[in-house]
Amino acid sequence: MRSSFLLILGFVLCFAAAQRLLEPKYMTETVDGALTAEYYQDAGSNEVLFVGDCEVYENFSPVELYREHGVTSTIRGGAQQLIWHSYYLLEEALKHETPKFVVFNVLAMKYGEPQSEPYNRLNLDGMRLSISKLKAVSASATKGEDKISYILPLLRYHDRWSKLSLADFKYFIQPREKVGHNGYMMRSDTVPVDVVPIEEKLPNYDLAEQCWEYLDKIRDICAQKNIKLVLVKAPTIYPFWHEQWDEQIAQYAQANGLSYFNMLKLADDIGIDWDTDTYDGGLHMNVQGAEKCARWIGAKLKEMESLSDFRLDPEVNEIWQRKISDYERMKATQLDELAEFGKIQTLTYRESEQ
Amino acid sequence: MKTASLKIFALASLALAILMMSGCAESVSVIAEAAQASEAPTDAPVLPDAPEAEEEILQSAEKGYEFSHNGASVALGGLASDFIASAGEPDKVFEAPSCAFVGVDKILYYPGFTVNTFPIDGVDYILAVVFTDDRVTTPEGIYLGKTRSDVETAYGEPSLEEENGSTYNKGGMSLRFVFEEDVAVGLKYYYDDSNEHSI
Repeated sequence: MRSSFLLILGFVLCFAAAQRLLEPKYMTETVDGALTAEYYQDAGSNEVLFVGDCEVYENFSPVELYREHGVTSTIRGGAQQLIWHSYYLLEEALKHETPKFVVFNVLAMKYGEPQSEPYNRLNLDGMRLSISKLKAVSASATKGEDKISYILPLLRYHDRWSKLSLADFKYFIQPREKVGHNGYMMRSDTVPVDVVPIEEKLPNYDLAEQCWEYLDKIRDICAQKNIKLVLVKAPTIYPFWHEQWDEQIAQYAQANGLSYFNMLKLADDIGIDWDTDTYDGGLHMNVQGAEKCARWIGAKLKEMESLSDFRLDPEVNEIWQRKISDYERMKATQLDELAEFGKIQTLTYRESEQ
Repeated sequence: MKTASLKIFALASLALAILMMSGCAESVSVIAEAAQASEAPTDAPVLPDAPEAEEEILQSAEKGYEFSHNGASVALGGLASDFIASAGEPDKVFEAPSCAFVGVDKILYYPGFTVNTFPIDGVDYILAVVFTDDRVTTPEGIYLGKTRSDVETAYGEPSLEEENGSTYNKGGMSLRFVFEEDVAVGLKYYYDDSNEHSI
């Protein structure tokens, strides 16, 4: 009997080890996929939680929000994080903390149905097993997707054995480095806006019913926890954010007593310089632009509700000073790389010792 | 008892080994390294596998609606470089790098229209053609500014009719018209109904 138990245990350990080795580490390529799992390290006592796609995790710097306003925040964002991803990630996050504000970026409202299995993986692989995760998988799955493999990733990644890299073995043994600075993925390079694409006409601008249902759910879960929901459209020139979509969101916000900021229209007020504040010609902010967005949204949130200044709390401030140090170190590294190689190479970092 | 347990362990280990060595039943692109090249998370359709997808698009393009400019035919799914070689360099190019995965979608601007491309393994393929003004005309004689009835005379009954649009499906691709007050203000040849860069 004992030997049977040991043999089963041995098999389970082998299975777990194979899974750990074969699953993507998101440390060398596609680092955005690491952000979902990193959230748990930064969760707990944030007053602001940003939720959404790359328009949050590349456009708002929580470190700058703290440095400028003393407001603690983190980002629950991922690449092409669709609204059902966002809802279930938010639902799960609210089991870890109850912020005063949830800031939700509305670009995902344009997608009325699941889009892509690889992006589902980026958003959900790192989510801890929970009812929220199971519901997220069910809501997100594209045609033919194997849902059970989100619980047992080995079923999805078993054939990666022939593509294993040194990084897979390195992070099989070592803990992974961090990508996000409280969920913000830093880019210090600059590619100015050169071409502004022509807006393409659509036959129908109605945002999908399913998206409205999930926005209602986000509104409701925030209301239940007495959290203020703020809707934003980050300042990016592409993908298009059609005026007709903007009007629908503005009407929804007004009908539900929510604040909505289309930051693209407010770019001058924020101080965005399209020659210096974007790293890819206007699709995302670089660190300079993300800091401007953070300073601006921080001021807006403080106008709406009194937020604590945690810079005055020695215990919290000590933690955030380490975060600032890591952040500035990465920024300096990236700028050095730009000067030396003409492009940035460092997208991960080891956190400072406590 | 011990022998039975060993057999169970051996069988389970064998199953695990087979699982690891076998390929996926569905040929979805593997995340990270493999996906970065073939999965263009942009205008591109979800590409199950680069060569197969390319072949599928090319096959579809043979039978669908066609557009040509300066004698150069635009083949959806075809090489963007072939079109550029025939039609000349675009006036300007907008580049939309993918989020997370490697690859850059491009919009090539020509007088009166754009050619939208997506990358596979660093090679740009044509995903869509979008008319931007009335300087260009379809082979069936339609340009922006024509009426809805002109479109129906030229193309017949649409596959999908909406209040402000008509879509014609043929050979695995689509041709979509957008109307304002029954006047064509938008026209797009495309391979898939996903129409904008994903983030």
